[in-house]
Amino acid sequence: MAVQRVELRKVIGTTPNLFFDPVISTDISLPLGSYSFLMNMSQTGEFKYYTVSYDEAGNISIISSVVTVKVEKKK
Amino acid sequence: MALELVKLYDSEGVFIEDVDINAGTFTTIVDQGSGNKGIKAKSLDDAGNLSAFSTEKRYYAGCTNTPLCDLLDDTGDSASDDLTNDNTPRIQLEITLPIPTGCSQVAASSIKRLELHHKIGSAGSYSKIADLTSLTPVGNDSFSAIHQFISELTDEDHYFKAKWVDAQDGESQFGTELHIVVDTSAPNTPTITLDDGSVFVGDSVTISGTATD
Repeated sequence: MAVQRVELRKVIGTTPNLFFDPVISTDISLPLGSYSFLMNMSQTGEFKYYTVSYDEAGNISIISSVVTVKVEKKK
Repeated sequence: MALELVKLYDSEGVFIEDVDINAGTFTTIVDQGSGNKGIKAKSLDDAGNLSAFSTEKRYYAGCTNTPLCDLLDDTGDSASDDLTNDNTPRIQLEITLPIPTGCSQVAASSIKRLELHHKIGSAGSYSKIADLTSLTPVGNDSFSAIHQFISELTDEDHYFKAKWVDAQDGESQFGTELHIVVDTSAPNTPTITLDDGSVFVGDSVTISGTATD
């Protein structure tokens, strides 16, 4: 079975929660199983993201590690 | 006065055969070939008086239609790729029969049962797993039935095909094979990489990784 899509989600609470965390973007191209999301950071703050994948039968993976982006104002 | 026999005729009134009456009823087997047919009768008493024609019974003989199988619990993004993560899925069987000329619908009694056969893997062999007799009318010419798996299917390829059995125990050919894949295993945990974890407003970041199943 192949991976059908990868979702990029933004953590809105203190820990990841698949029920509440919004999907920021979805990648369905997945060349050779790789995915990529390009995001323009328009607000200051500290933002946490993770990804989760779905196969063609609808099974969902365990979530990935969480990555953190710190966005600051230009001086 | 007593009835002596029943005379059977086709739709055009052409005589077919005489049938003896036994305790007020008669039974016979008539072969008029295949297609839309009709049959009607007159009764003859022992004084030689012949009745008027009975109501004509219409039927379709020699139907070669076969039932189709469908996976109802198709999961995932596509609802028609026959992939499912439900290992106790429902398989629906549906048969469409020709409506006899002059009739408004197919009689439910035309179908005694639908048979569902199953094999595991392409190299497996088929075995009957269900006789479905609870049929649901679909429109005027179709009937469906659902088989719900109770025991869990293994994660692999499964094949189904079906036949229908008529009121006289005549069996159809098998219909088109349905191939489904049961997969209940989750994809691997995606890897994730962030190209820059500290940026200024207006900058872009790329989050990438791999996702495999």
